[in-house]
Amino acid sequence: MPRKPSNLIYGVDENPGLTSLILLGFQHVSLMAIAFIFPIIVIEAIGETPDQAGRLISMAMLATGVGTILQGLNRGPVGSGYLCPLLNGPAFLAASLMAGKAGGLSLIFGMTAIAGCFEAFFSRFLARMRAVFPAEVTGTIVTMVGIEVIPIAIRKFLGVDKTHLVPDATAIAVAVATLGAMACFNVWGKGKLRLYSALLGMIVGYAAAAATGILNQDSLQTMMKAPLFSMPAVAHDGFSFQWVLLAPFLVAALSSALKTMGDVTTCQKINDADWKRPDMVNISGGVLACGIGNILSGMLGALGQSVSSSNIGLSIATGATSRRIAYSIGGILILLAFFPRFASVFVIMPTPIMGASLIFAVSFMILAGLQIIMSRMIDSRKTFVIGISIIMGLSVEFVPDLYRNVHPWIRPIFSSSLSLATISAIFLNLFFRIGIAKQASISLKPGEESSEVISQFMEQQGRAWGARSEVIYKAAAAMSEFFEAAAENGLTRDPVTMTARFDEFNLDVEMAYTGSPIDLPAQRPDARDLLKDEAAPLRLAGYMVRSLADRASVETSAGRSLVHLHFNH
Amino acid sequence: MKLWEKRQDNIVILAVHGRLDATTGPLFEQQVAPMIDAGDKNFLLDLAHLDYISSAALRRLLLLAKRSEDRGGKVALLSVQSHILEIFEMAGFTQLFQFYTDQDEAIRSF
Repeated sequence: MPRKPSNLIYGVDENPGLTSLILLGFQHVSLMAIAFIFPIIVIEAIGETPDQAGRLISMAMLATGVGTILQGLNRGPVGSGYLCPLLNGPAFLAASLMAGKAGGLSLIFGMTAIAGCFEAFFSRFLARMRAVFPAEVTGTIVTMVGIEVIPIAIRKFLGVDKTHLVPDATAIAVAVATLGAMACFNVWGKGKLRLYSALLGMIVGYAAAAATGILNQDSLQTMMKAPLFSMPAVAHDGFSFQWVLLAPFLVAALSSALKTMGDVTTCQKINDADWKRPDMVNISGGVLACGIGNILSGMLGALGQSVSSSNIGLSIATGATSRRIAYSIGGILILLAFFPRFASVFVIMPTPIMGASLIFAVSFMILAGLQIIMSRMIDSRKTFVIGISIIMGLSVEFVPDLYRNVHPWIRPIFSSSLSLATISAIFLNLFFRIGIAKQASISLKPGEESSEVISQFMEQQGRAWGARSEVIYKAAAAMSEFFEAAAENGLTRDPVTMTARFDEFNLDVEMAYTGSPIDLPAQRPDARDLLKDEAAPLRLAGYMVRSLADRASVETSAGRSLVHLHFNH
Repeated sequence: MKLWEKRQDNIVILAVHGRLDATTGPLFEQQVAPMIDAGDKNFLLDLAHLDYISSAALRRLLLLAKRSEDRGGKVALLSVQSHILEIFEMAGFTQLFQFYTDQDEAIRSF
């Protein structure tokens, strides 16, 4: 079982208790409510009625509620088992707008269900694609997951929306109060104050919004106009299909799957103090849950869904990552689908509070990505994979006009900084794998060359392989110990050939030479004997070689000796 | 390997940079031996910038500690990085030296 990191209050397997589950669930739903803007954008773009917008939001709650619960399942093939909420995110926006304009809501729903089937199918192959997603690729994806949210977060923070086209001083004051409160509760608050820092910050924000008039009578009237109870109108608009829209929806599904991969990787990392690499089987379950969620979205009559990075950021910030919170969120969303008046509390959330909440959550998300990237040694190949991909991703935000004329089929890739950075990272990683040998050798003559050459050789290989620095350090230390002992004790006068082989899970080193075998004792010699017993230094060196490696053995045949060292990676 | 020397009261503070191994260990000894011969007996080794230490170099530290103790002094270690500390632990050397993270505290211990 993974070791719980010390910064978590409630780890993935822990139960925070009913009251905390409800409050934490509401805290997450408040942040997710920001995504209700996407159904409204689609409805406005295709000229449907406000009633349809309400229906679409209601269906979004139902579909994403079920999707979030599925994602939290930790038994069986469906679900990653993490608090990894799903929402109607931007992944399907471009494709949905195309479908909506071409054939209305029924076409959106039909195509979304097909995209979900593709995503579910794709998930079955992920476990075999480990080499495609090394730490630098997944870290870049996770970083971009956070960066992608920045444009929308900063606009909202400054109070810019469709009715306010320039930053507004009052809105900024509310946003600063909200973010300031969240940060203060999070940094200086202990226990429950940190746990509910986002919710408490939002309450401060709502109070500031009411005091400054940003939250006014109109907002309350909008809320009161919504019916208290209403049965969700499932599959109200039917389904249709057009071949021409298949490509953009498949690209959207792929974007959603890649985003899920990045997000589930983050969840794995934040829940395991000893995290080393992505668990692709677990990620497959997460992508399958997302695919099924999208099939459900299409069948119920909602937009496509993908994982909410902001909510994962919130879970890091508050130190509560229990999967039971996912069930709580799912339950609250499903209930809200039946009670539109309560749901509208979230829909009328003032823009600056949304912006502050997003910035709060995204800060943690970006750092999680950078930590994954820096968990491995970086060489120039990896620098290009990471650097070029982030540059390509940011170009979507910095110079969006550049991609205005790309073919509509591939527009979803170029409409999202995350999608473009992800595709770039995957392709560059595969490209730069050309020429990286899985094994490398060096031949050194004891007594004539310094063991520093071994460290330089291993560091160079470690960077090329993207190995963990601590494993490379141990291997180099063990090899140096042997090499120095061989020279000082005359085990050989001939060159020692050292061969290192690497894959993601193993680092194996073989040292072959003509000469006497080294003894690798299991018992450590007494340190004080080192100054009295002439044989003690060699015994200590052998003991160190054995201890530095996870497994060590020596073979000898016809005057040739072979030291084999294995290191878990 | 580079050695930076500083003195405070009757303590020699030596900052060791780089690697201490079979090649650099003798150089370390060459620089420290004259100090002992000149009467220095208290040594504080600042290992914050030590990248690697081999068992052969550990033996030289042990020798330095013994010579200091013989003269009524001691050797203490300052700011040892975690991966170097692991080597000390593996070799059973943590009982033979006093480890400090704060220089003032280390100096007060002499």
